Amino acid sequence: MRSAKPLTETGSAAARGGATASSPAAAGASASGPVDPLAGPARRGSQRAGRRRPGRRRGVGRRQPLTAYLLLSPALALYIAFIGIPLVGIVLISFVQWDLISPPHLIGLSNYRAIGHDPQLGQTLSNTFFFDIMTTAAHIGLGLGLALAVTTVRSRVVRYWARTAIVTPFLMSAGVVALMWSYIMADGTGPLNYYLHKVGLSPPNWLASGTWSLPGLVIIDVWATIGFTFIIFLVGLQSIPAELYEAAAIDGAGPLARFRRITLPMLSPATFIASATAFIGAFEIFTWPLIDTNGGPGIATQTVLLYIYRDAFQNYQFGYSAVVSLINVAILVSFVVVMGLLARKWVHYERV
Amino acid sequence: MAAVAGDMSAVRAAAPRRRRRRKLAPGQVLLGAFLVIAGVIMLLPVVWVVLQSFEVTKDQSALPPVWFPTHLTLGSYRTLFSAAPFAINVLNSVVVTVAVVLGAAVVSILAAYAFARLEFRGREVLFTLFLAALTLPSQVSAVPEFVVVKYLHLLNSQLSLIIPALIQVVGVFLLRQHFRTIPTELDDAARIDGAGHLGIIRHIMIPLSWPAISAVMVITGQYIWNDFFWPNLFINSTSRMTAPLALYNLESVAGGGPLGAIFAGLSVLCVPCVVGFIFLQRRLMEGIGFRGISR
Repeated sequence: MRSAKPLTETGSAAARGGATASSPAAAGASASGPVDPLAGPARRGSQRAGRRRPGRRRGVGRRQPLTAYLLLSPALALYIAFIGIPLVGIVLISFVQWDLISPPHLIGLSNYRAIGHDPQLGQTLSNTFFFDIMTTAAHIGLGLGLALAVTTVRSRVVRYWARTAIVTPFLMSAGVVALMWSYIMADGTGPLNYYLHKVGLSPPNWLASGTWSLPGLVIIDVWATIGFTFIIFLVGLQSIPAELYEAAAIDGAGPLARFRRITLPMLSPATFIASATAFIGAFEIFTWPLIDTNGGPGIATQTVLLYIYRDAFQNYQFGYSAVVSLINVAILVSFVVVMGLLARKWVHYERV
Repeated sequence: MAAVAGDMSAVRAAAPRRRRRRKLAPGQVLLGAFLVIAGVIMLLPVVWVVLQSFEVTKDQSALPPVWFPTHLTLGSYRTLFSAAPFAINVLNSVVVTVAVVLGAAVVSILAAYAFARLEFRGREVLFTLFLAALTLPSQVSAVPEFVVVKYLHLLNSQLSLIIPALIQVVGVFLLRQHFRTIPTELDDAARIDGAGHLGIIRHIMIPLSWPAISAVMVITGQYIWNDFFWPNLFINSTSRMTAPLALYNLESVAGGGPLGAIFAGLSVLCVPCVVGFIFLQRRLMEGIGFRGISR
């Protein structure tokens, strides 16, 4: 590909590079030979290289739209097919009635009107928000606490043990985690309630209780994904320069003041990323409600993605499921926008 | 980024320093105890499952749980691999994961190079579009994606798990960031030696950003190996399922399924994660850390 570079491109590169003696007009001529010592040996490479004008500046060789598009084409084609078209597709499908077997019917805004008298959507959304806020809060609190503890503790063995143990569940398949916990939380046969009874508590039937099934899923989720937030905080803590703490200690700042004045502000980018990923990830929660509770009892643990899945693949209401998908996208996008605005105010990007 | 790798010196540096090194402060003891217990709590469910898988049927799911079994048996594993085509499912998982990891790496490297090194019209717009895809999880467009996959006649084939996964926007983004840190003088030197773009990618970009590339490969592999959502959506014949889906299928379709076999299957899928983490810890932390820091 490299020799397919059109001369005009070289010319304009030289024009931009400007500093050499050669003008764009002279670009094609090989007469200006010795201007750039780099150009000489370059000719050796290929026959046609001789046609390139010398006097090239450092930027040359980068302005090659054809090559660029060629290199990009696999990524671009895949992006269009599996990210772009599906996103646009949500909007298109939301205007039709479609079971995917018979051809789609254009029904205008009927799917949108159906939102108004959907008996399940309200609770589905509130389930999802409840689940999401609980997990995000737990992620930030526990993730930060554990990361602080691991950075502060001095024993290498303990540090290694804690790090491995905390991250391990994050590396397991959601399907595996969900199955595992359905046995652990099973009332009467599972070990969790057995031990809770043993210590004198009267635990609920986690996955079958109207009140406790959603908190039960929060426990599973936090166990399974806390490793991610933990790593983000760990990396954030490690990037805080030790001199800051030393300087503060010299100035007589106590541990609490150092935490508030140094750790927290310096950690704000990590906190931002951790809360954004936790919130967005938790909003798309699917596997635990599907496997552990099947959305139940009733629809007590039906989340947005599970609802979309059921509408589309169990009730064959592709059109309506697309409207719910749009609501889902709208919530996430507005969350990202709000977070972006908040970040501008609260996040310190200053790095030493 | 070197510090990200969990480098101990950095950890120690970040912690508020104490003067006395030898004597253990009571705070340290408490903190250590807390972390040991936290670790036990995190690992206990996994240990319970793995233990169950080796126990005889009457000890499995006994209450109180049998933590120190007197009889160990491979019976559950025999059931798992004879009753269900689980070996095929594991093989499916391996094939899909390897194909995606390698394919996505190639796609990402090529695209990242174009974004990092070449000038072309629409570069900024395209890159912004790629970036935008980072903020939305792909599941939000599951319904239309299902339609796309259906019309490409990929449903119920492993290709439905491989082809759409070849575009890993995170990979493109992280590698582009990393390629930009490599001095362009190196490209020029390679060009003088007659290298084309592919040569520059092979001899300069890949070797110099190997830590980033392997980190991307590890996080992609971990994601694909564990994925439950897409296989559940696209695959419905048992022999084509990936392992986590097959296990769920065994549990839900076979009416509760043979308990021992499920535990054995869970263990088969858990253990590589734990072992893999011990070996790939550094790469994995980097991969996740990159994401955290890169904004």
